[in-house]
Amino acid sequence: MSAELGTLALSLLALLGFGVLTSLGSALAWPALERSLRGSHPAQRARWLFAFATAATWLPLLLLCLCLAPGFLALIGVSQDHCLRQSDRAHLCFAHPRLALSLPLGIVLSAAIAVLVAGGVRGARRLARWHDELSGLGLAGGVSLASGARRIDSPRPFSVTLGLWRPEIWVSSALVEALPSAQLEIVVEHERAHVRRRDSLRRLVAAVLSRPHLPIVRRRVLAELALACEEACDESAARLGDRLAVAETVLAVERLIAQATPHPSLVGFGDGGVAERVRSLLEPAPAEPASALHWWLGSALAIGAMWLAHPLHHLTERWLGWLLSVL
Amino acid sequence: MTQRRGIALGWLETVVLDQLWAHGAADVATMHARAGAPRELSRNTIQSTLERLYRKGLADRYKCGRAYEYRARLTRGEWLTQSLSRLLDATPGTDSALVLSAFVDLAERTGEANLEALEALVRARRRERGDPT
Repeated sequence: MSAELGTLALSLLALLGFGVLTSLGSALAWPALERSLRGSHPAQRARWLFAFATAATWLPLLLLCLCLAPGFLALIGVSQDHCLRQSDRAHLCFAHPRLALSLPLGIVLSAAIAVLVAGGVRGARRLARWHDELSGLGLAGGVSLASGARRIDSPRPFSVTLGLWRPEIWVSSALVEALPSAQLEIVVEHERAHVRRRDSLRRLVAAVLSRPHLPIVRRRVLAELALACEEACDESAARLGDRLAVAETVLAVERLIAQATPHPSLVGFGDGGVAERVRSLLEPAPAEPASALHWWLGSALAIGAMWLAHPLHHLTERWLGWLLSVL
Repeated sequence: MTQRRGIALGWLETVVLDQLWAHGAADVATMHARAGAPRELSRNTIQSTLERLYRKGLADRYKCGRAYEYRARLTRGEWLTQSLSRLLDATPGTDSALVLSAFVDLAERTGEANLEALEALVRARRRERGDPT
């Protein structure tokens, strides 16, 4: 049992190492990715940014699975038993665990389990609270508009999509009364696109899984993701007819909110992406992303990962061995 | 930074509050008959749910004979306005702000000069296209 725990602690140590490498690698890769995504379709940009944001979590896990794959493949008889040729002290294999649980490894194991449990409990409590707050809101009713949105009596002009699993669109009476019907249609179509794309859920998952990134990178990636989601919904609304009409609607709503803000000094002046959205709508419509590209990339990644499993496994064992000798 | 937190309601609290709005004031026995018995919940469960609503400031209670009678403190509309306002005022990047997508960011303003410059850009593009302004 001690040997299995030793291998588990070693795996968590490897995961930590992969996490640090991914965060540093992401920080170096971010400027190039940001440049290469400029000008691409916002829906495609949002997909890439989501993958990049969440990579801080899934990439280290994927690398660990690859490291452990040779042992598991040998265990189920798919490949030869590589353990016979190996006598490293740091041996990453649950089929033939060799390393007894020492004090430093015990500390790594306990700390990792404590962090995972604390993070899980905190996350579950937050999710329960969001669920409770939103279900309380659903209880309050509101008048349904013909467009499927709900109208709420409020002197504040706003239009929002609320919720994670089954988002709902809320439009205030102030906005309904102030906007011409064509612009209101654009607003609701934009919000419908948020519902279809499940943008709230997408942004929440990205926010949670991007935590291991360096804070400065994480902030930029999440801000770019939020902007890409808004622009993707603007593109959906633009399919109603006119890109300039969408730009005018964004500016009209921005002006209405600015006029209704009782204490302008209390709000931030970062423009919330309005300038970027309007400038993007003044450009010709971007080309729709090719859907086959993702399949090709996914297949290439899977083949590359299988090819990398053995070298990565041995390389990881080598640096873990060096780390243990230092500890 | 402290996040503004709202009043979170559990499932049964939601059901009981909905009953108070729909049918007006009720004591524990009446509420149990309306909301508890159909769900096979005990009278004690309903009583503690009403007390939680009272402690959260969502219900008032008055002595009526030997029992308390509960009524909703806010109307449905007031509750909706309060709940939405709290979510709309959430600081960007905090938990509440993540479950909401607004047509235009509610926490950051563009500023008059920028807004005018953008409106001029759109007008110029319309003129280029020969659209009526």
